Amino acid sequence: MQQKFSDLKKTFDAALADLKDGVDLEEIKNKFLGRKGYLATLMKEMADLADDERKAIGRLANETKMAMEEGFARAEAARKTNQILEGEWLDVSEPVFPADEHGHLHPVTRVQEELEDLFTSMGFMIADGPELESDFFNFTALNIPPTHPARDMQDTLYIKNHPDQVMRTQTSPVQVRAMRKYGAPLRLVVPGRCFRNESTDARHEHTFYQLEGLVVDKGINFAHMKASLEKVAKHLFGEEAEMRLRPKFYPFVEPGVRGEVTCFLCHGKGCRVCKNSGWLEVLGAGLVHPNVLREGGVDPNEYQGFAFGFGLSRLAMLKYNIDDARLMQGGDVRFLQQF
Amino acid sequence: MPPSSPPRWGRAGERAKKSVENMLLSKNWLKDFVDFPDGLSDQDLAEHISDCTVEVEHIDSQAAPLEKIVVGKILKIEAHPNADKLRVCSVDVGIQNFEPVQIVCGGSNLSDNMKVAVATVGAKVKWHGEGEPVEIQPTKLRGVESFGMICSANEIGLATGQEGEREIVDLSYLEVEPGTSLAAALGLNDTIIDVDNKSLTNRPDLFSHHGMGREIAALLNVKFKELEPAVIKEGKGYDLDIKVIDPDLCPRYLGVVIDGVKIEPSPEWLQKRLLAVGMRPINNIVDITNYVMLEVGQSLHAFDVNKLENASGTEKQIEVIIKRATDGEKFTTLDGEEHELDGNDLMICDGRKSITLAGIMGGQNSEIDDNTTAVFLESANFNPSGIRKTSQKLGLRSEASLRYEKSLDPNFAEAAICRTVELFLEIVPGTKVVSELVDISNFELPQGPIVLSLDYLNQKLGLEIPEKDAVGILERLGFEIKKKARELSVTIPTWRATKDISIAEDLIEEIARVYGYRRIPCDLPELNIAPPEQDPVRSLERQVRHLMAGRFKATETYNYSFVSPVTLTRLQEDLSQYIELANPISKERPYLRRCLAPNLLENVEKNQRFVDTVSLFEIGCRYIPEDAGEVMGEGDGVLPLQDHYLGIAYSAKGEAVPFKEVKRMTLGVLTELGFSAEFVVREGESWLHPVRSANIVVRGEKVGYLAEVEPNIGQGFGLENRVAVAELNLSRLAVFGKTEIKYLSVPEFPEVKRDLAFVVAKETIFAKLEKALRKNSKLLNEVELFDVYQGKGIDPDKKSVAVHLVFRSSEKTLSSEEVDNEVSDLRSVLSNEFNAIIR
Repeated sequence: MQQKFSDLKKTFDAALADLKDGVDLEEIKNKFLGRKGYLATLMKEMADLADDERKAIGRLANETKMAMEEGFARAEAARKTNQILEGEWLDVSEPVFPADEHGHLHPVTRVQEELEDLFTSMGFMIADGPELESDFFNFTALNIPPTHPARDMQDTLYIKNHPDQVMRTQTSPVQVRAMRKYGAPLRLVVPGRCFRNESTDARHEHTFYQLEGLVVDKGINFAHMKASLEKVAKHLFGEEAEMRLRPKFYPFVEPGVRGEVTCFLCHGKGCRVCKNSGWLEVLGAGLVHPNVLREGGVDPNEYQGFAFGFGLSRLAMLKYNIDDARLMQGGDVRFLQQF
Repeated sequence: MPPSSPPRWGRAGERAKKSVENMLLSKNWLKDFVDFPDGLSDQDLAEHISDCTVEVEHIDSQAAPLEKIVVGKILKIEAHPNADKLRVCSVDVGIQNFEPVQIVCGGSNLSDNMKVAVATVGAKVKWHGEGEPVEIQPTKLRGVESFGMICSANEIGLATGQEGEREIVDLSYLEVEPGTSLAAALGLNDTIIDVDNKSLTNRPDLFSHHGMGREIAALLNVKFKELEPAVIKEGKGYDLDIKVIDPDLCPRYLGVVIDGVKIEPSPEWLQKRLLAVGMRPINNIVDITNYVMLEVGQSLHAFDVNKLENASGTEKQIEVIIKRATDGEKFTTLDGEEHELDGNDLMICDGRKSITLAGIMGGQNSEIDDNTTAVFLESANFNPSGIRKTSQKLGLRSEASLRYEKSLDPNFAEAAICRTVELFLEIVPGTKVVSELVDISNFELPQGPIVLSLDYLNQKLGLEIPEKDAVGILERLGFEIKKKARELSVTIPTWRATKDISIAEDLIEEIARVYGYRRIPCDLPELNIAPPEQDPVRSLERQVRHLMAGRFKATETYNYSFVSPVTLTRLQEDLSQYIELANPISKERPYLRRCLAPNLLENVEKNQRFVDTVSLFEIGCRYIPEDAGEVMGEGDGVLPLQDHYLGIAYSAKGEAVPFKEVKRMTLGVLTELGFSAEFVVREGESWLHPVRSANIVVRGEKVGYLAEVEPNIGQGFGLENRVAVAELNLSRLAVFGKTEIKYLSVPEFPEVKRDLAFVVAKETIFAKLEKALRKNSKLLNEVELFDVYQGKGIDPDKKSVAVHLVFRSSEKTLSSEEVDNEVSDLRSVLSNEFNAIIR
């Protein structure tokens, strides 16, 4: 008898396990658990047993019945779920359409904002100044008197009938404007558009972007400048980047330096971008010349400072591997929409 | 030297093209002044100079690029079976190759037994003299094997005077065995240092081998061998009468006459040095003056005495007058150009005529020629700004003006004339000095002393430099020092006193750079943590950029600040209102933009063939001359107003009214910034559409416009689809400040929504409709337009308008009858005031 119950359970489990799609669940239910099903029939046989044996088998019969009912409920639930999911097949690799459109920020904007965020976190304000600038702020106030050959370094675009007005050749005039406006101490950066009278080709543009920086405070020295510039260089080019400063003449700083970083493409080994030197010139800097502090209304005996300038257009070209400077102002969506 | 003498050689590759942009130095020449330490490689030398003084752009041994290029001898020339212009040569390239090599060559001047430059396999040459060097490989040319290349001059970067591409270099004059390396055969054993002299505008003393020698000796801390030319022994024969009328423009003038001159080529050693630094030898006199210029850094001029005239006509008397040109004077310089001069230009004149544009270029009328036998030698110092002004005005730059405009030490003039006379006597046989040495001098140099406190030095650098190091550096550079406790009293050498060094900070730089910037530690400054001030325009710009790109999916573009007259004329703009550049880069774009639209429209025109929808924005400034902008800093002047604007241009294939999309963008931006805006009908002008134009008004002020391009003008501009443009003045919006959100209590009673559709005249202004509706119902809370229809079923001069009306009371729940009454009232308003037919 015991054996019979156990065999029934096995047959039932096998039937459920072997369920074919088309097989009616109700049919199995009736066959095994129905009023005239196998289980009911087997239970009827128990009537012939002796009392004590019937008691033991009765428990077994009940357990078998419960297990079979549970098994059936599970099979029924699984069948239901399968029916729901049958219609839900989806190609997860299918592209969304219509294609998702999104807007694009100019590559210079991207580099500019990255630097603005860094400098803001270091307590610098983001300042601004006019692009059409007076000759005074662009040159004279920066320790470049009218006949100074330093003007050799930059061919200037002048305004017709206004010999005292120029398209600014650098963002540096904002140094003096800002000192006059905000006084000392002061920490600011000025991203902005600059102009040189230079014909354009793949490597030269008459319109380009710089980011000027100025720190004026008590006791600012060369070591402060070196450390600050190194922080910025590492932020831009990675912790492993090294920076070196070499002398370069700018009339508005003394001493003046140019900053070079190890080429991020070849890591100093030498490549096409760094012209095989392993180094990229990325900034100009220096301790603010006392004459410039004075023009800004700041007493050089009380306050000192350092200033620096990055070529934003150049940084963007390096970062995105852009090989033609003319693309920057070319307005070609096939270029702009890559960013 | 016989007239048929072979060309002289010098390596003058691509970089040796002499220009004012770079300066070439010969290491052999520098050895006259510097004891280079043993074991110092060229690379180390270059690094040293770059680290402490100025960037060395290249340092190249003359021989390096000529590796595996040898002298070969042509044994046999045969026709090429498959090409008319090619020859098959058998060339002896030395004993290491017992067999002569076969080389296919297209040279036009090949001959038997000719000695030629052969680039053997593995050598590098420039194809047709251009581009990156290419390595020679064994190859087949039209089916014939070739194992090398017979070179023309420009393929291996030699300056010879025979630079035709098919012209092979003829080396037959060289008495060397085939197989000799070309560099050895030509005696090319120098190293050339190419310095970025654009960065040396502050160092007039470094434009020479002598000056650079002093600097290098100081950097390397080795002995500097100063140039000490012999004092001139004055002679007799000519009277010199020199008058400096304008001493402000000519602080020093020296002159002397040399007789017995015979024009010849210079000796080989001198030619070689000139060629090494990219200067072509001409004849002994010109070469000597050039040599002295490159050695001392002072330009000299030699006049043919026979071409000089004096007022009296006296024999053997030379009159020289240094004075300003007369206004309108015409003068023809050596290069054959005629210039018109004025009173700001300084001239050197003889008794009757102008003979030189002082410090810039000599005249044709007194030029040395093959018959010259006596020369008047001038060595002078001219005012740097004077030279600069004249040179800029005439667009005439020379090696001389390049140096003068940097403020040369007037003492160079004396050293240079002595050195020149010394070389004349040494090189040109039979020459002698036949006059006194006239020296007219009107200068004073501010040599200090400057007081430099050692504490200040250390404080400025952020490190302790040992006193003896600081003093040693200054002394090696030529400064004289007296020590007083912790202070140095520093006298500036004349060659640094013309303007370069004047304050303590200048001395600090000298010490720091030679000591080495790399030895200065990094030390972040400790600064206060007060948050930085904000520039409201900058903040606004950033917010707007991200809205335009993020929410409105537009593409940011940067356009030039300059506009083309062609574009402006097409847009019917008035050019006279525009600021114009005095010296535009190209005639194409001489005007400064008064609005962002013209260049944006150019963008649309250019991009319409690449994409169906062009949706661009730009943030940039306008230049408005009639409105006052920032101060000019000096005097009362102000700059033109340069407010920052957001510009938008939008066009899409099949979109008949792009106005709507751009309105969505502008309104979206303004709303996001916290402004409510009105779009007020605007009269179309120039390129603006006559009716699809609106001014954008915020807080009663016009802050921009929105318009479509007038269709005919758009077509003329090449715009294929309708284009709408808008501009918003971000500088003004920034001034308005932010509008903060104000909380209103959450409505207590429910709202009731009704829809209303009606037909009105086509030109009915919605803003007026809405105003009328709101005025006539106190319970009306919102009016939302959800459809405007024109077309089938509607009269052509009418439109159907549908709105959601939302009613709400703050006191109670509205009953349906109350709302019905309100709607009924509003219907009457519409019928009565707008002749609306309710649908």
